[in-house]
Amino acid sequence: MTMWSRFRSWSRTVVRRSQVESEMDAELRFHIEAFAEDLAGSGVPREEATRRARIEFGGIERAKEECREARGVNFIESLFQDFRYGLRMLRKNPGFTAVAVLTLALGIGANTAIFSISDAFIRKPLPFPRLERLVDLSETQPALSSEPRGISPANFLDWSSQARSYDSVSAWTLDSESLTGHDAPLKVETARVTPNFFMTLGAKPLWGRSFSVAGEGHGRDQELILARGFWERQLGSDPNIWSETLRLNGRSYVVVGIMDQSVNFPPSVDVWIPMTLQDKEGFNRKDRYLRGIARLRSGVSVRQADSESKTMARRLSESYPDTNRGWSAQVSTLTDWLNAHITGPFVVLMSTVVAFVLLIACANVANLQVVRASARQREIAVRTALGAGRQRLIRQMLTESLMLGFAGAAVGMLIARWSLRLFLGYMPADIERFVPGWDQIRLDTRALLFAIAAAGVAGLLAGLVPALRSSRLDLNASLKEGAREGLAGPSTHKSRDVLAAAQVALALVLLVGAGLMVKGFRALLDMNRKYEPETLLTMRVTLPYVSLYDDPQRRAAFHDRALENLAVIPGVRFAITAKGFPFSGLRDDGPYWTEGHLDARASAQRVAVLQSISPDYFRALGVPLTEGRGFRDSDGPDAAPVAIVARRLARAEWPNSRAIGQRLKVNSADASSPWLTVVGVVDDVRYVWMDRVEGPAIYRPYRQSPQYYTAFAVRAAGDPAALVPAARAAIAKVDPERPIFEVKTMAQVISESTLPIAYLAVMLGVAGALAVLLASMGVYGVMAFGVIERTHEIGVRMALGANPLDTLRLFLRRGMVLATTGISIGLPCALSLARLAANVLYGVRPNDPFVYIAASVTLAGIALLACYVPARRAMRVDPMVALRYE
Amino acid sequence: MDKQMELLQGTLDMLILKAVSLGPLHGYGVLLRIQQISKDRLEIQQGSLYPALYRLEHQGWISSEWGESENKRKAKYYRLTAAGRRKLQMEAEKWNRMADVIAGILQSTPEEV
Repeated sequence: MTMWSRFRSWSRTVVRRSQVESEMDAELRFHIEAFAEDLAGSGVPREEATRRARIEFGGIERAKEECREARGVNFIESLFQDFRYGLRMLRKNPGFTAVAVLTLALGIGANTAIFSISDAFIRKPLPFPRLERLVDLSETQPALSSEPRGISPANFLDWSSQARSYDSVSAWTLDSESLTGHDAPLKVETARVTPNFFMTLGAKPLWGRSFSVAGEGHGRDQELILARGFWERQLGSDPNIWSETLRLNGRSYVVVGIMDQSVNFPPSVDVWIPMTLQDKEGFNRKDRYLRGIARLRSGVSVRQADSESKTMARRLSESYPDTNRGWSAQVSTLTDWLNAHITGPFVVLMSTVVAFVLLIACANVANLQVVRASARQREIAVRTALGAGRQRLIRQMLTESLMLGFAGAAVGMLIARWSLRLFLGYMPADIERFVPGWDQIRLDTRALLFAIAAAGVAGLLAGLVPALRSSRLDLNASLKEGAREGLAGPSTHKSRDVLAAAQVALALVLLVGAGLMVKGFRALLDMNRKYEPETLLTMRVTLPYVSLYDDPQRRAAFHDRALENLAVIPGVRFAITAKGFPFSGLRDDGPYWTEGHLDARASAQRVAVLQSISPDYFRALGVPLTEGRGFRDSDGPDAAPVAIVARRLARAEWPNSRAIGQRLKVNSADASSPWLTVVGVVDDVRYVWMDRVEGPAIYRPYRQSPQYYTAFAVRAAGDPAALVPAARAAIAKVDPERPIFEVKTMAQVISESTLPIAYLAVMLGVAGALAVLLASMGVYGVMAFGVIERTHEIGVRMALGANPLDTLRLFLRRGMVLATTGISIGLPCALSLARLAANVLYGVRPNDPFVYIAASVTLAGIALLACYVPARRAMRVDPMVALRYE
Repeated sequence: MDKQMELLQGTLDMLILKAVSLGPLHGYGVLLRIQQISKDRLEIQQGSLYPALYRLEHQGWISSEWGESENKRKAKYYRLTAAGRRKLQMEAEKWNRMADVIAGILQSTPEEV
């Protein structure tokens, strides 16, 4: 609708309304006059006739009102009326209005901000057309865990050629490679993808072309597509990129296209390279390093595709029991797959939390309105006497409440904007890239619509109780001369008390949640103190599968020399290597078998973190050896294969005997896989913060299991930042083509990997504080109004000799009853919600009694304070003044 | 009290339809016509007459237009629409059936039961 036509329709309504009104006037006037004339005709005096005609007709205004209602169109008009009237009422009480609007704004703003974030994560994490039709394909080991795993190339080929559920099926795998030819080798996140990958996604390059699907074969895998961000950041937006060749891990590629940054899939990717799964890899059923992505054929549901995949997996496990027994398959929407770990629980938890805040805000505003409604009793009584129906009164109150809600939404949008800016601002750029949807977070039209809907719900919620209450008014009592304004019946107390107690209960739930979260986070940080993370500088290196590093001896030699070079840097106390250090994302990454339980079946498999370390590892990290010996330099490739196990694993596997001397195999149960003899047991180390407990771990000497993906660390005597250039040089001296990346102190690694939980802790903390503030306002409001209301009564009591302290006690007792009721309702709710949250949340112990006690005491204390201030006022009431107070 | 009002309204609507079915009438005329037909045995709340008229018009059973009254004054006249005629017929039948049933019940004797 244009501005002009809107104006026209509005003015027509107004004009027509006055016409209809005047016609109605004329009609009724005619009736009364005609009636009076008839009366006069029968001999009644003129004036008396008019008077009697009016009396017999009855309430003219009431009749008019009923006529308007009967006509139906009245609704809009009376809404206008209500609106104008409401505006006047709200303007007349600026204090009330400001508090109510601000309270609702906080609630609505918080909800809108979280909505924008959730919406980005859930609905549009990636900019692909019909994103909801894209699915992730995974293999699973149902007996072991529900975690989706990768797909092996041969299984993928069977899957993609036999499945009928999809328009197109693609595979990808992410690797990090070294880009050379520039000043220093660059670490590049390389996605190898089947040529139809972008076709499946429905993404087109910004410049250049996509991979061609036809004519797979030689030469094609020498092409690559760059992510725009990588091109700009690392290649300085080089315009001549098209004519150059890029060398990745020693192979040459030509750039054929550049993808827009929003096509961030797989998350954090820098370049895409086409892969062909023909040749030898096409028969590899064992190594599940691929991920599948497919676009559903129209009309096929995710559930159908999933059951088809399970049928196919069953067939494969029958045909190839060696590699496929115990494996099943799983199809889930891409969005679900992306949100499975951090963003999903985050969305659930934060939406619940802010919904609670909004509920508290509504209860608060409801309370304010109940209080105000009792102060407006006289006005309401007058309106009722003048013919306002109950429905009309309820509508008036609801209109006012809705107006508060919408004003709250307007201010709330500002709050949402501001809090989103805070939220987005604190995330480091290199973490952002791992969160699909992060760059889509913004306050858009949907957020606005959400805020409006939230305002509507909040307005109704906050207005319902006061509206229903005040419309049930005893007319006679309120209109009686001398009735004190605001003297409310016991049911007013009740509804206000219920609202206040509900606020306390809700606030307690949030406070407990915040307490658990913050405490869990603190415990997490404290636990890592023992590694002295500030002085440990870590860095990662990846050795390519190709060329000389195929040979394990060469990999071991690389480690040997790198460690030697690092150790001689001045200021370095220890130089160590490991597959990964705590918090670097290492997780139960390999199966193991103990002697006597050598069962190839997947269901018998157990998994552990499989580490590959240098002898000083435990000493440098301060992890005590509890049994046996550590590794020595002599534990080389020709020596007997040895292992050190974490205490948890030792206790689980050999509960009744010594772990030392036991034997186990890792990675493969084949005869070619060597038996490792346990020579030591160490304290548990938590490698992933998401895990509630330290997982099992098996350590091997790096010379007996030299890795491709590896990390080094130096323990500095002083500030490790000064060592960065020397450490880089030390490794570059061994192989100048290997990029050294993620050079960070362990403190940095920890703070980055725990960032999501830090975010949650802070947000819950803020929500909890907000909730306590609102709830204390609620209790204060109830008590303060109670004092005003009972000033007269208090005066009488005092005049009759009541002790001021008794008065104080009277109010404090009422406040404490409120608070304890709220707390005793809130505690079980908090406990059950915390248990639910602990399932989706890592590191939270839901049964921590300290948090529950602390939250209850805090809340009770604040409630006591909120009572004390008005109660003191009651204590100081001057009986003379109070008795005169009418 | 509400219940009683509703009952009254139901009958009032029917009476109004009947009154205007005999020829266009203004509001006051409707009142007079009903009193006249009922021989003043029905007391009609004048205040409730107009809301009923507006409601019937809103529902499309009567229509209105401004005309001139007997003593040359502007007055709003109501007339029955086709839909209103059907409605009146239906209501009248319903009313008669109801009255028959009720009368039958009230006249029943112990032998008949």
